[in-house]
Amino acid sequence: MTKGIVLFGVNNSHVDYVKLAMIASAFARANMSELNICLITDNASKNVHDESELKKYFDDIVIMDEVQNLFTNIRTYRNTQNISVKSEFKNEGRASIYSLSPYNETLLIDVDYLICNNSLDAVWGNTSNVLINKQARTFKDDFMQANDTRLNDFGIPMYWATVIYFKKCDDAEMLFSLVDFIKEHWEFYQSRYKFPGSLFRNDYAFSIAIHLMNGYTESSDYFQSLPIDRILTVTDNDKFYKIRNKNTMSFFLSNNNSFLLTETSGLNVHCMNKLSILENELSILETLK
Amino acid sequence: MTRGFFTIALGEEYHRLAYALALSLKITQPEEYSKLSIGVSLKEKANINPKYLDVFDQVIEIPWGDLSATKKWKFENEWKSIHMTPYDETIKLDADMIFTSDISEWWKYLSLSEGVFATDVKTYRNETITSDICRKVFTDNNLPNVYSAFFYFKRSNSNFEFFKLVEDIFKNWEHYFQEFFDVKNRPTFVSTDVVFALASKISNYDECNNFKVSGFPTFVHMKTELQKWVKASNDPWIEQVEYFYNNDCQLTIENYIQTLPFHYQIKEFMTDDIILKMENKLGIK
Repeated sequence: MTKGIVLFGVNNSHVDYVKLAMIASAFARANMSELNICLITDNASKNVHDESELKKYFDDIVIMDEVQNLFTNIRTYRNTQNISVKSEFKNEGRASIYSLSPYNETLLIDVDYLICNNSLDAVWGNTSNVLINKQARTFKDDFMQANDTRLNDFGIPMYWATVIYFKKCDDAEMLFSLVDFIKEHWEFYQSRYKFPGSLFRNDYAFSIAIHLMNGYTESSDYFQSLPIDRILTVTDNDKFYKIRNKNTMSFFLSNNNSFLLTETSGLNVHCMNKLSILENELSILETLK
Repeated sequence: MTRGFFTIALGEEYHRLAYALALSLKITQPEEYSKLSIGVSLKEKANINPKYLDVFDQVIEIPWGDLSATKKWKFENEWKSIHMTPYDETIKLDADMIFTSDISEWWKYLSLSEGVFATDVKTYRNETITSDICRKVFTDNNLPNVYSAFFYFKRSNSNFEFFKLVEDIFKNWEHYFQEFFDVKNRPTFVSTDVVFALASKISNYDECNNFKVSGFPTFVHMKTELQKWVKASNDPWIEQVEYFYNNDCQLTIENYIQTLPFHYQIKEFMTDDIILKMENKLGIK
């Protein structure tokens, strides 16, 4: 029975997702028990980096076919409220991860999810076929915005595709197939589920797929949460500041037009400000070496 | 041992709602558990729509006169339910409810007790309603959180005693409220749930029955204020959410398929179109 982490990263003109995947891999290697790590990417993104560099961080590299993008997913990448760039958000290949993952048990994590403890070691061999969280919280333990709790005030709960554990099994295959189907019929599902924005967002697609698999009800039994049931999140108004050691990081958290310097130790953090992670690329990789 | 549902339906509008409730029971419950009898006033009995009569199990005249004849809220006859119901075991319902799935399994657990009220009622998303915004009286006076819109009881001596107490509270509610409720939390009007809750508290009804099966009996309570919405207004829920009752008589609200007894509260919900779909499903012309 093979098991491992899968990172999905396809570069755009401003963000080197493969580099982010290397950083996420380095965090996982430093803080979790020994495990395989796989990068799923496309040729163009892979070719930006040396083969030897990639081999340091990934046991397996899977090159996906070029994704026929259904959306012009232009997203604003913020680095605090002061800096922003618009670039294409190439997130549509995520539904194919079920078939592309080389592992029987996969822990799929976003490239901006920085693992600083070993709590996710507990997922392997889980009795549930899929584990996914439906809570994301800020450092103040607040919920994210209202539409990050439910797709709309009257609607279904939001699940976070930031971290997903799944086994190769019929349930997981159905979940990922449904995500693909929902993506193909995005306008219809947007009209039915009334979620905001125009971006294709995997969190919404997974939330809807889970709702469908729960038989259009809100069951808490079928899709269980990960060992830590919330995604601790640093938004892109905040900023990755520094790494002190393999499990200690500091962030500038936006706070009423100023910043609050905050250090975390032993906490996994979803740092949405990707640009600030990349700014610290050298020090992070050096520290985690 | 006979089992069935019972509701009091006063006035043409409530006859119609009770008819819809009866149709929904026929659609969702096995035949032996799908009977609904209704209590009506003497003067109404002869004037009930004949189509409705085919669906009701029995139409029973409210004994000792209609005590709510001159009242806006028609709950003064509730204590007579045990005297009216034709069944050995009854689930007393509010008329503005429909059933959305087979709950017949509940009977065998309910029958382990003399009587059981629904307590942990749900939103349409199956969230347990915890807000006491409409039930401050219950919280402030430490009343059991009972909902008489779904009340199982056996026809037994202890339940006749219980309903006798309910009758006494209905008839002397000001005295009881003065006796049992602190002045600053004392309701200035009577309501069915408060009366049943107070009777339960006085008689230790919950403790006597010791019903320990979690999760039911329950129902979806569509009072707008209870729906755990963050930003919604207090406009009637039917104006705020999308709902759909399909030809197969499946009710969906904002993509949530309803499976519990559904207390819709807003009478306008029960359109002629929904009733027609129910009639079509049952082959009623």
